[in-house]
Amino acid sequence: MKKYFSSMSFCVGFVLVSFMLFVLVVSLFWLPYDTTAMDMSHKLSGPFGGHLLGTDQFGRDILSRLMKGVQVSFLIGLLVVAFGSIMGILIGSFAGYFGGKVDEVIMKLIDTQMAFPGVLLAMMLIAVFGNGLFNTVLALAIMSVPRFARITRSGYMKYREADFVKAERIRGAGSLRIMFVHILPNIKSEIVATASLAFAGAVMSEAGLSYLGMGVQPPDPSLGIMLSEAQDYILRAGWYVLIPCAAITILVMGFNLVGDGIQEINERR
Amino acid sequence: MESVCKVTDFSLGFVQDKKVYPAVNHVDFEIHAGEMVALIGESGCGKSVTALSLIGLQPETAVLSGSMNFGGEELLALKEAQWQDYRGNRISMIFQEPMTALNPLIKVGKQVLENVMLHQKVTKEEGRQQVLGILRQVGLPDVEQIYQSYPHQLSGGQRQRIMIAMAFVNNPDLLIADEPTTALDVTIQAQIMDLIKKMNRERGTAVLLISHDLGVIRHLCSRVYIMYAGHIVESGEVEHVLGNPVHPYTRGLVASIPSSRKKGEALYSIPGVVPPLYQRKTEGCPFCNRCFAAGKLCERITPAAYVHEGRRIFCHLTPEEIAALSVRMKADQEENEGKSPKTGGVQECRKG
Amino acid sequence: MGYYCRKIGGLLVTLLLVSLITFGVFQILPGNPAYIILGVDADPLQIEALEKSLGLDLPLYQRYWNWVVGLFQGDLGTSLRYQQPVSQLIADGLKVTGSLALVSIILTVAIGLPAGIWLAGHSEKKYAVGLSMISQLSLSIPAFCMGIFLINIFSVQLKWLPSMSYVSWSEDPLGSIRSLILPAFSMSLGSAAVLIRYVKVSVTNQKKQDYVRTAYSKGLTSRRVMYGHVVRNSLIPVITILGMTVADILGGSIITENIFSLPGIGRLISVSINSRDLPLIQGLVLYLAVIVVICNFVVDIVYSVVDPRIRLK
Repeated sequence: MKKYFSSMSFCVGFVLVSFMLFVLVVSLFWLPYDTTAMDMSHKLSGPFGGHLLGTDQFGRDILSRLMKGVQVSFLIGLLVVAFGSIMGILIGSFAGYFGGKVDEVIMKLIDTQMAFPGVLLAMMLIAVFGNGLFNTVLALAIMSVPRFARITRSGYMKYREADFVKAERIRGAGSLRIMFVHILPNIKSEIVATASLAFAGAVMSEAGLSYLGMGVQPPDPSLGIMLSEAQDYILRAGWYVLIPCAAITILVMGFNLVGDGIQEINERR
Repeated sequence: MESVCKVTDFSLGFVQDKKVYPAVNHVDFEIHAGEMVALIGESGCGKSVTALSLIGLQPETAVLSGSMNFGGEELLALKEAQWQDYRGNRISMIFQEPMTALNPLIKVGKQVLENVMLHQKVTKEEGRQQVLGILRQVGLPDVEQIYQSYPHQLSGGQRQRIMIAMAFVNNPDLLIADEPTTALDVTIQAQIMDLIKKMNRERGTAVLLISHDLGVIRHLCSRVYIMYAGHIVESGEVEHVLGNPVHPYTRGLVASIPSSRKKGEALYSIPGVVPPLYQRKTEGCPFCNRCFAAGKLCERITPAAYVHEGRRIFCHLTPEEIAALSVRMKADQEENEGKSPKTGGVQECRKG
Repeated sequence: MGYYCRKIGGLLVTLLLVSLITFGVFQILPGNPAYIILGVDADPLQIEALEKSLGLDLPLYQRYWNWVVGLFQGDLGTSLRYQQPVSQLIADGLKVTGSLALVSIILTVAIGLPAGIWLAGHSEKKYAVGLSMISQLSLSIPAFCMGIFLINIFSVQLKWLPSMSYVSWSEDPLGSIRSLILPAFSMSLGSAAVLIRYVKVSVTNQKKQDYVRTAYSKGLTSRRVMYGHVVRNSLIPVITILGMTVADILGGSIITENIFSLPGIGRLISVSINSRDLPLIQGLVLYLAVIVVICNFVVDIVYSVVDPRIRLK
């Protein structure tokens, strides 16, 4: 852990992520206002009044909604990374360890999946299964499988013929044991870096989907929904747009930098 | 004899964290027109950086001092823009690794042509004919087809021939060959060396050959400089220096080469390794910590040169003293070998 | 030649898989499409008639076959919402999305390539850190935020460029470019940041290669070494990135076209999903995926032309 702080990217990312984690932890215990309480007499009031970050078009407290939105983003990010990494690591392990035909077939499928650009695959799945938190997570998790599968596969290819693996094989260890007990721990840091990048990607995609009205459904405040609601008021209340945008940017940039930093150190080794 | 290149009191150091680590110290050498001179030494003793300095391509962290006189011009005073008339034109270089020294994406003919067009005022077609001519001269078959080939389509030996063609095409005064055969198959090595010798003879180009291969050097070169840890320790005519080595380091080098005369004997190896750059001391003989003849004086004072039988030796001891100490060392060694208990043999192990 | 045969074979397999996925996903749709189209309380006779006309009474493989045959005849079905052939709608949208993608790619290369080469020559730490932060920032600002800000600054405040209005190419070429600059720019920033990093790494790696020393030893100026040898060799890995950029830009156009109200494929997609216009979604998804696959194929071919070593492998 300590060695990662020698990377500038990691340090900056760490600070940004810590800040958002702090917001998350606070929001779990305390919110300044009810996130859905409307107050029509204080519509679009500016920041630093009774409401620290102002109110939205229905007089709802922006800070509270933002904190709730951060919760939603973290929840989605974590679930997506959890599902995506489990599926991706399994697929990548088999492809990388066995190689040959297994690898060829799996990689062809992964390549095919990469043909659906950006959020298109997620949108297609949402079109079929419908909106909502769970379906969004599922769609984004499937979208993140290729990056986990690829990194795992390349890690396995590196260690497949390593001496310690040969030694295990001679001792009679089974393939599954070699794969998950002996090889997998060696590529832990590569997978953590990918997870961090995938987390950032999930937050970004969720915001995009919600912006298009296909992710989390109102009145749940997700960062994407806040932004999409705010954009109509950009001329009257610029800060209202700026706040969710800044939150998304800090979150995404934080996790991207952490992932980049870990990768940088891994390569330096 | 007219000298092409005369290096005097040349030193080179690497700067790191504002400290200078000397890699080459007060080196003098000279290359005469048309001759082939060898520079010998272990890896890391400073021969490659010295060679690169002769063509102005030393690493950016290097600081140079002394003088490198090339046909009346001081090379160390050249500006980057002036270097362009020298490199590839009057001085050229062949590198160790032919597999990577050529641009993989450009046809080899075009790469040789680039040298011609850069330094000669000829039309493209004339340049092309010249390239085909030199490709033939370096012994490549079917030159029209080779011209159109990419480096990966050629063998290592063929690529080194291309490098040689490139180096000689502008008839330079001096060629620096930095271990040109180390990366090649043994069977090809002799061919490439013979080719360099042939080009040296036919074109009258002086060659500075950097090599480990004492056999080849004895066969091809007229004079030799032995370098150790940034210092020249012995230099002179090949027959004298390699045929009858005096300096303890040269003796060690020659003794460590297998030959038919020494058949059946154990090969000698010099104890220890060349100390890394940051561990080198600034005073005393550079070789003293590995030398069988070293005394107290050697640790404190860097030896000056004296002349003996057509060579210069940098040592505190006279040839007779060295020879006597060498005999004693050999006797000691044999005695030790006799005393040392026999090791090896089958040892019984019990399985727990 | 064997290389190209294998590549074409791979292309065909990928296209087959793409069509199977696109077809398959819409088959697992919960509920009967006929009900979805006509509503739950529709007349059973009507439902049966519609099922027949949609071919829902046929076995699955038969339906896939009919669909694929239809594709080859340019028949992607009829949009439920627009009551027009899907292929016609795609063709109309393509004019907008195509020009948008083109302008974006040009901008990406125009920003990314020179900046990356420049940075490779300036490896000082302050540049490296500064670049990494700026590129991370431009990657982390969501494209729609960027779009909203750009509109606010350049259209609303400064009134330099139009917003929310698409001018077609045939009507007014200059106006068309003006209407595409902002959306293209908001998409290119992220891709340019990626490109800069790749170009920088690639050039830096190539500069360490032995052949660069050989080039210097020929007496070439450092400028000629750079542009005659290094840059040329560095661009090869970058071609792959350009292929990925095309996919990124097509994916990004879904959101960007909505912000800027451009009547392209991306806008069509979000409309079709929100109105559950299944034939249109299916057609659009298939179409975009096929474009990406073909782009990657073209990249592979270009790659093999520029790098003679590839064909041997």
